[in-house]
Amino acid sequence: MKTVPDMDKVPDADWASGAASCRCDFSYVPKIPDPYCESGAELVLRMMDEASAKAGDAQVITADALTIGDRLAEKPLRTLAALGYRGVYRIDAGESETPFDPSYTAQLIAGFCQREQYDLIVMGMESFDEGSRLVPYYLAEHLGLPCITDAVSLSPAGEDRIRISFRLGDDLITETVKTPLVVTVGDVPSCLLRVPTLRQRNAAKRNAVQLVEPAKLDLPAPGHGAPRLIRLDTIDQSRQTQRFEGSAEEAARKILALCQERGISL
Amino acid sequence: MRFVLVASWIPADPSENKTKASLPWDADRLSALLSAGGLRPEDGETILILESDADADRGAFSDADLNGLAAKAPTAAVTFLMSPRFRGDMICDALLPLITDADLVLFSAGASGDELACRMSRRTGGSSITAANSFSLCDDCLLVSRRTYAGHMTGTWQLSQKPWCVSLSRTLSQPDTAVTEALKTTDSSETSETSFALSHRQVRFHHVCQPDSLQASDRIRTHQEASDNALSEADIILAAGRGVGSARGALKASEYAEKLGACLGCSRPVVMSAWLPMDRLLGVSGSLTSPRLVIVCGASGAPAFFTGIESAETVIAINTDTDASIMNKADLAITGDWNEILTQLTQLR
Repeated sequence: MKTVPDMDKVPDADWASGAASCRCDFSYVPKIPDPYCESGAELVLRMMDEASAKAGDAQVITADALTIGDRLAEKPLRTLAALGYRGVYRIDAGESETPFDPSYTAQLIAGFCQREQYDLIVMGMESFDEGSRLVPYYLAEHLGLPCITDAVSLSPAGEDRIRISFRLGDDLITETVKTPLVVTVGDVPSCLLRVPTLRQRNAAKRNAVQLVEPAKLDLPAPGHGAPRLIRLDTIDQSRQTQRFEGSAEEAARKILALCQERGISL
Repeated sequence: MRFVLVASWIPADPSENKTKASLPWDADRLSALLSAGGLRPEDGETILILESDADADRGAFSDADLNGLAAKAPTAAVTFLMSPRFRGDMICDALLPLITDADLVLFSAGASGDELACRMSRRTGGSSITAANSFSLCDDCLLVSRRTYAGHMTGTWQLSQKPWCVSLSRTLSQPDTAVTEALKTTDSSETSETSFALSHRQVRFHHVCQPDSLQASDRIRTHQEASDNALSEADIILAAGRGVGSARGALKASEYAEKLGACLGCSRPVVMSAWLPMDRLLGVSGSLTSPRLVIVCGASGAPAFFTGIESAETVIAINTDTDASIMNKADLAITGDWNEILTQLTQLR
């Protein structure tokens, strides 16, 4: 579960200053849970619900949540603890010299997962800020696991198996697969993370976020070269805009006039 | 420099048992990209990873299909890699011996290409990056540009360790009239042969072996007919954003689109709220379009969304928020209620 700066709150002018320094300072921007990670967390909860609802199903699914970040990143973990995640962990990797380091992120997650031996590792397809799309695949390689991308649903399917639906190109594929594996989650409609009740939050106060120190993890070797960011440029999508404010009829006439001028028939 | 171009996954179309005989990139844009990167077709090889039934030698692909695909490859050397399903780790096992002496390995856009690029870099000790818009050589390093920070910025990355494993941006799968016209003008494209016998190419066939334990007998595949083709080819698009307010609002937008002869698209919040299906999504995760006109109603204009319509000739934005970023990205920015304005528009036109 990653927290990311809310990009919509960043003023346009700040992007330009970020480009000049090759590093964007988001310390003042409110943080939100990464939307893809949120969907992944909700899919896991639905799978847990399904497992416990099945009559006579002895399989118990337990889930942990992990984030890499500072103390501000703990808030979504406390939400997940309230929603039924057993263990919630934070790795404080410290201030990185490089703004983008998916290779190190994958090493940290791999070190943690090897310690705990998970059957299923669910994560967002890409983070909303850097969006490198590298971490899940680096992680799968470190752990020697298959990876299924762009999952839209997860269901328990017996011992060591899950039933998964995922997008592959223009196809939607549903099949039963063996665990362990890595699963990434992208755009899943109607999959916002549920909101815990006050009772759930109070009950979860005993389940504190556990801090994990990178030095105590057995990190795998990167095994590859990491790309190095050397330049950032803003993207100018602006046009020579005509602004208009008036009645709805006047606005409609303005649209028709522009279309006529440009030879577009509605 | 030796390069390899990998079409990461070409599925068989089960609905008609025919292949989609197309490569996952626009030929002209790819040619321009290779040329700009200083790559010559004779120095490269194309590997096409095709979905094939494990029991059949070539699965659903006829010789004519393979011939057609090979003819579209930008290199003389073509390798067909047949795999019953997409399993990135296993396909990489088969790819590894095929790219041993490559300096640069380019993978087609999408999650499959991203996965293969990343895994191959780790297996070869090289370096990787995804969704590249362009690249160039500099002092024995590769400089790659791609969008980052949710599409707000373009970053340039330096890859040092070879082989450089790079997956391409989805925008390169869309035709660009400027590029196509430029290629016609320079008359540099000699690869547009209309027919090319397999025997004239250096062609190889390989298979990805998968153990029986991976054969999923309960596999269900639903082919989602590309209604995003309708969006990609539409002349007029009506794009609905979060400001339409509800599923009912999205339905209303749909009615307006029909009356205006427009194709309906939308931004991410609309599909995530399930007000419209995923195939209506515009942007980096959805359709990339180049219509004559797009009318944007109630969308803030986030870069990831706007990338889907930035090639439009004319953009008209209707929004109650004068400070929404779309209001600077449109040719005509109207402050007002989209419902009232479109009602008038459909009556007056």
